[in-house]
Amino acid sequence: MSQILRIAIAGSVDDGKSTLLGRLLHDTGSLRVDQISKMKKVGASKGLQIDLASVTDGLKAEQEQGITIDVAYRYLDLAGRRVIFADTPGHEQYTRNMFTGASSAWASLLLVDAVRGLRDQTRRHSAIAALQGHQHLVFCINKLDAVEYSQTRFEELAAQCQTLADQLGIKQITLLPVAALNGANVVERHSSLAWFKGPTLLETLQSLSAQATHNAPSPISIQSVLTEHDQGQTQRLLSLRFSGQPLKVGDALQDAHGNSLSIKRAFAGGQEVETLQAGLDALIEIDREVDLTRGDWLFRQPPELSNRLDVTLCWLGQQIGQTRQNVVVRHGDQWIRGRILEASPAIDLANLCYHESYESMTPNSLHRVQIQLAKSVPVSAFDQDPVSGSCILVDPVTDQTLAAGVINSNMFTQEP
Amino acid sequence: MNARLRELESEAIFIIRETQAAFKNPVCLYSVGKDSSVLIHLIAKAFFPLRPPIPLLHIDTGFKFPEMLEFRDRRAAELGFQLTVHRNEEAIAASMNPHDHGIGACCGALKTQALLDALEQGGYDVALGGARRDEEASRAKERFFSHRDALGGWEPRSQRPEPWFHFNTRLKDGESMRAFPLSNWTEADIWDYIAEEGIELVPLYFADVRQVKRSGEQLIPLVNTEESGEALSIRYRTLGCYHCTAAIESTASTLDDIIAETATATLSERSSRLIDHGVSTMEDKKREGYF
Repeated sequence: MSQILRIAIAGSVDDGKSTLLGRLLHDTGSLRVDQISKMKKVGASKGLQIDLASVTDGLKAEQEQGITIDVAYRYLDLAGRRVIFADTPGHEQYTRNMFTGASSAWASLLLVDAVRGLRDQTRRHSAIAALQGHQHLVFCINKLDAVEYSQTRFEELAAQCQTLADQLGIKQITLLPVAALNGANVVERHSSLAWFKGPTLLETLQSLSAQATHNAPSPISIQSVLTEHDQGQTQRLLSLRFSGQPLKVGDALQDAHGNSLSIKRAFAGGQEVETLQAGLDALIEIDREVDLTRGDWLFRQPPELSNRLDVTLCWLGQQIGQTRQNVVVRHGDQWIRGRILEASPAIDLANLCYHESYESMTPNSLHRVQIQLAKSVPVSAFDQDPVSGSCILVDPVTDQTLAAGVINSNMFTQEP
Repeated sequence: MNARLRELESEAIFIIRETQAAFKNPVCLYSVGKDSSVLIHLIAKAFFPLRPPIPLLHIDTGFKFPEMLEFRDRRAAELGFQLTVHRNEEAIAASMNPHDHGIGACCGALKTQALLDALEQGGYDVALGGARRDEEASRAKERFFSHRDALGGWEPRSQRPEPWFHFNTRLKDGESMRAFPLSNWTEADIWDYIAEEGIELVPLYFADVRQVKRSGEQLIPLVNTEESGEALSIRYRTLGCYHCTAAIESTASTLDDIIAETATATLSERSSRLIDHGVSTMEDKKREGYF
C-alpha cells in the first residue's frame, strides 16, 4: 500500500502533459528561483514568457525537439502529502517509456487537447492505465483557452472520456476543464470557466484517496537467499516480496513441493519484528533446512500452479514479435524459458475490443497471448496479486525487453 | 518513522538486495556525501542482522576536503564495510586541475576515467550510487537500474522498461549497470531521514566559520592553498571537490536548522556544483560514463 500519491501523466503528443506539470509545480510554489529563471531563459529563445515544459524535458534531444522521449519523475508536497509524478512521453514510439512510468503509479492524469479531441494515443494510454490497475483516472480537457472556454466543447469531450472509462471498466474518474498555458483551473479558478462548478486539478489531487490494498493470502516470492558463515555457524535468511495479508513470526508456510516450514525470526527496516507488512523489504529466518533459492515461492495455502500464462501485454520491443517465438520470462524473482503460443489477437484501440486473430505483435500495441513456460509457477490475476500476476518478456539473444504484461486480466473480454 | 520515509526506505532496501542478488560482483560507490552516507546506512539495514556483503569504492580525485577522507575511513570501518580507494595517479601526477584544463577535462580524467578504470580493475558488473532524480534534470530521467554499454556510457534514448519492479538485469560481457536505490528521495527526505536515524555526517555540512574566496556569486573554499580569503559562517549543501564546490552563507549548525533552511531555500540543491553548469552538462558526462 502506498502512502505516497504516485501519479502518471499521460495522453497524446502535444496535448500539454509537461506544460501542465510545469504549471502545477510553478503555481504551487514548488520551484526554486534558479529553476524558474532557467524556464524563462528557455522560453525567451522560443518567444515565450516562460517555457513550462522545460522543467521536465531534461534531455538535450528533448529540448532540441520540444518533445518528451523518456519519463521524468517530479516531486511535490501537497499539504503534507508527497506526490510523485511520472511525466510520460506521448509519442507512440516511446510507449515503452510511458508503460514504465504508468507502472510506477496507481492513478493517472489523462490529457485531452480540446481542439483535437480524443486520439488513438488517448485511448492507448487509458487502456494501459486500466490494464495496470489504476484506480482513478483524471481526464484533463486541456487548452480550453484555444476553444474560447467553450462549455459545449468541454461537455462533448467529457462525454467521450466517460464512454472510454466505461468501456475500460474504470469506476472512479474526474473530468476537468483546464488551460495549462495560463493556469486556468489548475491551481486557481479562472473567470472564463465560471460555468464549471467542479474542483480544480489541485483540489482533485488533494482529494484522491489512498491506494486500495489487497487482503489475500498471496504467494510469497523469494527475492534472495542471504547467508553468512561465522565460527562454524551458518545463518541463512530469505528476503521476500509479497502483497496481501501481513506475515507473522510463527506463521506456517509451504514450498512448491509441499514441504512445511515456519517463520522463526523476521526483520524489516533493519530491525527484528513480529509482523511483516506486505511490501518490499521483508527478511525471514525459517525453522528448518529446506532447499530454497532466489525465485522460488512460499505459500500460505495450497497453491494453484500452472506452466501456461494467459497474459494481456503491451509489446515494447522495437521489432515485430512472432508467435512461436522463444522468450525468457521474468515472473516474480525468477527467469524462466518460455514460448509465445499461437493466439494473439491485437486489441482494437478504437473500439477497445479484440481484432480477429493476429500472428504477430507489432510494437506498442496491446495483445492477449498464451505463454508456455518451462516450469510451473503460481498464477494470480493482477488485480488480486500484482507480484505473481505480472511478468516481463525478454529476448534471450539480445536481452532486449520485449513486452510487459498482466496475467488473467478480465479486460477487453467483449468480442468486436 | 513517518509513512513516507518508511515507504522510501523499503523501496531502497529492495533495490539494494536486488543489486546483490541479480549480479555477480556488486560494489557501492561511496562519495562520502550526505546521500551516500544515507545509502551505506541503508545497505547495513538491508542485510541486518548479517554483515553488509557489498564493498565500498571511493574515487579520490586528490581534491577532496581533508575532513572527508578522515570521515570516510572511520565510517566504513565502523559499519563493517570493506573499502577500496581508487585514484587516477597518472592524471594526478600530471597536475590535472580545473583551472588549467577546464572542468570538463578535469572531471573526465579524475572522476569518469578513474571510475571506469576502478570498475574494470575490480571486475564489478554493477555499482550502487546515491543519485536522486530530484537533483538534476537528466537524473530525473534515470531508471532504478541504469544500463551502461561496454565503454561505460549511458544511452538515455533506449532505457529498459521497469514495470512493477521486474528489472531486466541481464548483461552481456563487458556491459554493466548502475543502481540507484535513492531515486525517489528528495533533498528534504534525505535530511529528514538523517535526523530520524541519527546518521553521522561530515562536519562540512554544518555551518562554521571557514576561509572562503568570492568568485562572482559563488563562495569557493580555500583548502590546501596559501591564498587568503575571508572568514565567513558557511556550510556546504552538497560536497564534491573543493575547487568546484561552492559554499553557502549559513548559520545552520544543527540538523533542525538545516531542515528549516532547506525548506525555504530559494536556489535548488546543485546550483552550487559548478560541474552542472558548464558547456558540458550532466547528461554529456553520464553518456561518457559519469555516475
